[in-house]
Amino acid sequence: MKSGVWLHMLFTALKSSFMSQLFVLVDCNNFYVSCERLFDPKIRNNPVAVLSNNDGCFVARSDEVKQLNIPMGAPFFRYKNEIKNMNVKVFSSNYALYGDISARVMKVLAEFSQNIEIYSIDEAFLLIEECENIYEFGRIIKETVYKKVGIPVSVGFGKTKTLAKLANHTAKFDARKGKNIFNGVFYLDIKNEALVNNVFYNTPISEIWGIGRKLNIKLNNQGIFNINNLLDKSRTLLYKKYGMLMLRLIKELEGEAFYTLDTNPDDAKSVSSTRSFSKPISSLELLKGAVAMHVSNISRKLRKNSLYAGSINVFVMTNRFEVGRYFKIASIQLPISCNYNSVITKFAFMCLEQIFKRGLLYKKVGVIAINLTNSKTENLFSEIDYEKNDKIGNVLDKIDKKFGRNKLRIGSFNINKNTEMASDHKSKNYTTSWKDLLLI
Amino acid sequence: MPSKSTIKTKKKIPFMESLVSAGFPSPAETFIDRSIDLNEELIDDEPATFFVRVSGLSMLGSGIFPGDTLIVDRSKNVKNGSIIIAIVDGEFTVKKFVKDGLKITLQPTNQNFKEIIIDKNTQFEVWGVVTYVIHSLKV
Repeated sequence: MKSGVWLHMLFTALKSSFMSQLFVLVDCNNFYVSCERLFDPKIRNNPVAVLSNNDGCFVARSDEVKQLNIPMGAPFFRYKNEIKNMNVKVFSSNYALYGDISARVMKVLAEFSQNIEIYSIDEAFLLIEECENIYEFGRIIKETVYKKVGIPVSVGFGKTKTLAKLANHTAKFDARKGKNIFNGVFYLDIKNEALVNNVFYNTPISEIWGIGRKLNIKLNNQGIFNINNLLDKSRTLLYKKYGMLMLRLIKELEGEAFYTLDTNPDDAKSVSSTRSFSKPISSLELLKGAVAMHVSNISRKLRKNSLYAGSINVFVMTNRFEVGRYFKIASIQLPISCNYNSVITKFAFMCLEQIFKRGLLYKKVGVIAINLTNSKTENLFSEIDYEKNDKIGNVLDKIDKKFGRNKLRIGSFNINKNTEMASDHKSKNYTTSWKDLLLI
Repeated sequence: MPSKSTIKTKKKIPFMESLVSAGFPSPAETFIDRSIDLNEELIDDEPATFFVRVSGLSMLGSGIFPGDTLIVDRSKNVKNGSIIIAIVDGEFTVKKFVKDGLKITLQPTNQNFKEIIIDKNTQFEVWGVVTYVIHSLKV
């Protein structure tokens, strides 16, 4: 290796270890509700709920509805009276709208840092250099997203992803309590022991990124309820009982970053797969290969959690410092909610072809699964193991060939007798359909 | 505090302009003769740009007719005389923003309509600034 190259590598390695970096987690407040409120100002101060595809269950609730103790994913029919009494405005989910608004939010966030990981439909991690006025920076992010896209967000800063997630939770949580001290921006500064102690004491371990429901119960049974409890326990014993995942988690809590951008703990709720290329690529075929890999990762995560995706977003990004920086996101609804590689890959390729532009050098590509359901009844094909036979992919291909592309859209039908509506309350596709524009 | 340049929105520079200023040939030369793209010409800030449809007659004097489509840019700052989409007491409206000292009014450009005076009690929010109106002349 040439000495020049070697020196450059050494310098880069040293540079990244000396440069102080911070993770930022930005996430949208009540995202689906906020999307609906953007186009209907009359419901800004009213309770709002969004229902899943066939209006079966709650997928989003405004703060007022949350206070009714209606849990996420609860069946709609069970709370019909409360909804009526409280005059809650109910919407059927509109993923064409949410996917498009999500793309806009992510594009605005990408203006703040070239190092961005789209984590889900409404969350993104950024990696920035530590700077003087963190809170000011956070405020600017919040204000810019609201001004440009009309969506309120919360911003959390931390030396590790886990700390950034906790910071974001603190920023939001206190705002929800009506205290609003942090105004939606919070920096969990590991150097501020008193602050960290306070947050750790008041935060249940279930809020830690990577701790799922089962692990939470196990830890509770050991008398571990808040983060301080966890950090007080012997590392050796925790490792013996819970393995590497736990050690990594603790290191993250202590400010030592294990997870980098695009890497996540196994139990994380991320339904995205994104990756930067060490060498930018310009070939569509190579990008397709990367997309296929991402879809494979996502399908696996979905199947592991018994989740089905109803839509996906696919994005490509060029290097920021090149002329005409390109960041495009395409959103598409799948004909059926599923977690099958073959189906999702097919539609992911369609998205990619839509946003791919010849002659550009792409630095990053990613796929995000959205419109997630875990109800088996909403998935017509759950009984048959199509994955092995890849039948459904073939069936769709045959239909496409015979009737033309995208002619087949399998609608979800109303299996639950107790729900009266079937997507009766969907708002218009204000940003994706020319005939559906907001009428003023 | 990150330097202003990292926070300020960067305006996209078309390939052509940069090639001309650099003054040397580039592999991207094949893009110089791209057709005109309305997205590039009419949209400054893509994530902040929305389209809305007009239903009323209040802005005829501005050349805005019912059925027209407006290009609305939320990233633009409102100036005196800007045509804006506003939310007044929970309702959307398209009007001209007029500021005279501390007095703000939203004015129609059709004498058959009344102006809206924004005072302390009015719930007023700017939803976006109208940058272009698309009017079809199809017969």
